[in-house]
Amino acid sequence: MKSKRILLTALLAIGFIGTTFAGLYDDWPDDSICGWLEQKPTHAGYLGEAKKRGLTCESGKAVKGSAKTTTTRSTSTTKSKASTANSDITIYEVVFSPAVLKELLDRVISKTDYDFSKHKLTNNIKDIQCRFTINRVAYDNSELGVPEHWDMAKGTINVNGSDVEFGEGSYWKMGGLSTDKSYLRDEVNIKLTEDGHFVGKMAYFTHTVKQGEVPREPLYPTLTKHKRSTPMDLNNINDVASLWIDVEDWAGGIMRISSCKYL
Amino acid sequence: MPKLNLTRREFLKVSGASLFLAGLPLPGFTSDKPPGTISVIMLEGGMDGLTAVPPFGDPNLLRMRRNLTSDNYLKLNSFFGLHPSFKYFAGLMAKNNASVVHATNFPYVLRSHFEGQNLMQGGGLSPFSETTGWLGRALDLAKVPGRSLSLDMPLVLRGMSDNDNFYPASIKSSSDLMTQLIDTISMAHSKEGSEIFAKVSKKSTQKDSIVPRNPASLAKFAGKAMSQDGGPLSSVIKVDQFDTHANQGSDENGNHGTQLTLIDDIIAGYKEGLGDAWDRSIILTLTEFGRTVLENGTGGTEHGYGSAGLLAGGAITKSRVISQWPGLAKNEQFEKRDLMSTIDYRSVCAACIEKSLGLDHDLIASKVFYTPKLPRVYDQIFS
Repeated sequence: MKSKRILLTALLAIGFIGTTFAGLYDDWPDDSICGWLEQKPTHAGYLGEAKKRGLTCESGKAVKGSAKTTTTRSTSTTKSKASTANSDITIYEVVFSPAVLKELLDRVISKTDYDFSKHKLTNNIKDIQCRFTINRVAYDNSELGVPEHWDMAKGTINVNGSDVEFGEGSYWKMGGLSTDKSYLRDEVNIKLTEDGHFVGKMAYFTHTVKQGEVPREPLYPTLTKHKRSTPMDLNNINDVASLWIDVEDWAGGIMRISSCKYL
Repeated sequence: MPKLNLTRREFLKVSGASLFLAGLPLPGFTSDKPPGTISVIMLEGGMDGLTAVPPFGDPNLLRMRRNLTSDNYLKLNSFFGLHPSFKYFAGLMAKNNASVVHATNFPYVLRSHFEGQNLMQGGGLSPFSETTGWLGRALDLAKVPGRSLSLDMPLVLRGMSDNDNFYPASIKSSSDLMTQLIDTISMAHSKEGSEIFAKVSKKSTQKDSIVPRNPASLAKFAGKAMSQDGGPLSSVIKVDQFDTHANQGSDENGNHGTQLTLIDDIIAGYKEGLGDAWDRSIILTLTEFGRTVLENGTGGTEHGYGSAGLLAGGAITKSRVISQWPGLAKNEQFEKRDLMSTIDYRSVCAACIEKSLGLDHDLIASKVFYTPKLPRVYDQIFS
């Protein structure tokens, strides 16, 4: 039984190594493999590919090998001659494997992109407007945090369905870039859940910047169903809600929602 | 002494760059709103296209550049790779919003920074032959005369007329004086001129002119401005220090790699700032020349000829590498030392103008680049 397990593990390992290197160098010319091998003679990938092809390399060139030596045909590349006046221009299509493609696409996600699919969003709120303030919670001296009694941001907030937008006239009071009202307009992507929480991402200014100081870029914290939050009561919109926001280890925030009314 | 915990990217943020915005469509001047926006990143010093986009399928690459080629590149296809500094650009390639034109440059072969930079901005037939820039002339043709937001006006944006320069100052005591001056000039002008100065006057007191001076934030600021209705149609960001004669390095921590990271950050900043306007935008890099194929004795490269141009933006719908690859063998090099340029980069600029400003190629070729038979590469880039 034990030997079977070892054999199975070995076969799986060989299979894994095989698939790891298969494909990566398949479309390389033999000379390229030999060229790289000359520079990095202990590189497992190049060694494996040279061995697989039965290559003999001399001075960075393949002197004996498979028929791929002179071909540049590729499984991942489509070379097509342009049909216009520049007939000698070649278009080398760019193709990534599914795994690489996903990793690359994740790099260009916007700072406010958020996947709401894991939340039950409300859809029965019709055009309400509330007042809001954001206050800092300092964790410097207390693990539980100490709410500060000055407003970092204030204004109105509009909810329609699950969509949440800050109203005209809302503003941050942190100086620097925060004075640009477009952050509250364009860089907010939050929605209201069925149980009265705000979820999503938004531009958020934690540091005060005085005139003459170097402006600081906003942070983009994720608004979640915080365990310390008092969510909005969607059946009684007059109640005050306190939605806690985790921002940095030294400071967070509380968004207080009050004075809601139907428009 | 306090310890500074700066990451490499944070350190790079203190590096300098300059931003110029141009082409504010003015009422009464602009017949039709152009279809897109065009942004230029000028890379001064001569970017090494063979490091940025290594043609690893060419067997001569490693023989000649063993210390300059990263083995951590992203494989784009069977022939080309992408330097690891281009993390965001790689994502855009995956999104089909970025392409590369390789073995290309402006038709200039004498390897002087001053001449090369002048030619890449002027877009003429010889250095110092033009007093206007190719982008400025294109904006003229598109009938979008307007402001250039800058302290000085880069040659590339200078047009025949109606272009002026302006910088959004946030110096407290300068605002009143500036506004008074502008108001005085405004009163002395006719209707159109008055509108222009009123626009400038309004700009000068805008609070959002507070901009961090790192390149990515400048790009984000530019993108935001360009995304607004009536905002500028064009912007130029200038970055230097690509002249890597020594210790060029191969990976993202090398001297050249850190500069490539700046380009990556700028493109990311543009995308963030542009928002939905990204879909109609095109961004392209310019550099005065490439580098020698062979590395020198100090781990660097000398001034060369052909390089690579990076293109990004929602106007690109299919990522690709576009090249008429000349080869790296000695007898395939330009003057047996440089990567040959086989695509006139003015054609690439012309294609980007055609896409963003909606001008006809023949008009661009003759009126912007003074080369009526300039090849058209629009289809290769945008089809």
